[in-house]
Amino acid sequence: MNQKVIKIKEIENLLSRKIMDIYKYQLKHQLTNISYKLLDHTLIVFLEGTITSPEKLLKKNNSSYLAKQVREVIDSAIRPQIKRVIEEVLDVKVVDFLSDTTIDHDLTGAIAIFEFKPNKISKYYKS
Amino acid sequence: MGNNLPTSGQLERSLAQTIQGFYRRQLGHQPSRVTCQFFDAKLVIILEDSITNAEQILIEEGKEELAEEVRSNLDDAIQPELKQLIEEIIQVKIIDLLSDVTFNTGRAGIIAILSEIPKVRNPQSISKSKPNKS
Repeated sequence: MNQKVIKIKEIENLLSRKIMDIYKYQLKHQLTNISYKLLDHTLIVFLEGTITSPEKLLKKNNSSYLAKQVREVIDSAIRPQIKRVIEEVLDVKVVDFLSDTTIDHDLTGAIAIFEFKPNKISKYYKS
Repeated sequence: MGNNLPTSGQLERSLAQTIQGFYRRQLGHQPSRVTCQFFDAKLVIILEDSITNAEQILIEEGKEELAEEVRSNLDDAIQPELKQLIEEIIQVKIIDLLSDVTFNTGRAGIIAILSEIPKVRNPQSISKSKPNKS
């Protein structure tokens, strides 16, 4: 494995660990997987297994609307923390952070837009 | 046979142009730029300058909550047709659609969860290709 691939893996692993910690400490919940794609000024993140047991139980008991409301509040609380982690790890300023969650597919998608192309990582990502 | 298929870039460009036109027709407001990018069995769409003038006035008048409600209802209203439009172009079923918008920047993001990776001439590039803009 070349140095470039190793460095990307290191950065992604650090990001994943910090994002997983947010869910672990705030919600006592374990995410199953996190994947990334970096474009010029944009990082796309997919968090799998984001839905907590209470939300699943609500949905199962025909309280989908309440589960959605709960998820909106959880996402609002978690969103700034994930944004901060991305800024810290990649040493960038995130000027826009868009995210949404599907309870049905137990998945959260996020789009982070950077002010500038991140120097710390782009040299490793650029093909 | 594979040569008749579009490349992922062609598909992303075609999607970007179609989506831009769709928003103009539906909301009377054209996003200044639409970027589409496939990522495995997902399609990520970023719309710049996506806020309509009516929503903009609501925000300027301090009615942000109403603006959010309006946006949520507009999304609900246009998403079935948007979904159908994307499915027709990529020939793959969308199983879920995620969306979010930031009023400050006017930027909107949509993520379509696909039933499978679209058939393209260069499938290996789907998680590596550069974004295509309109």
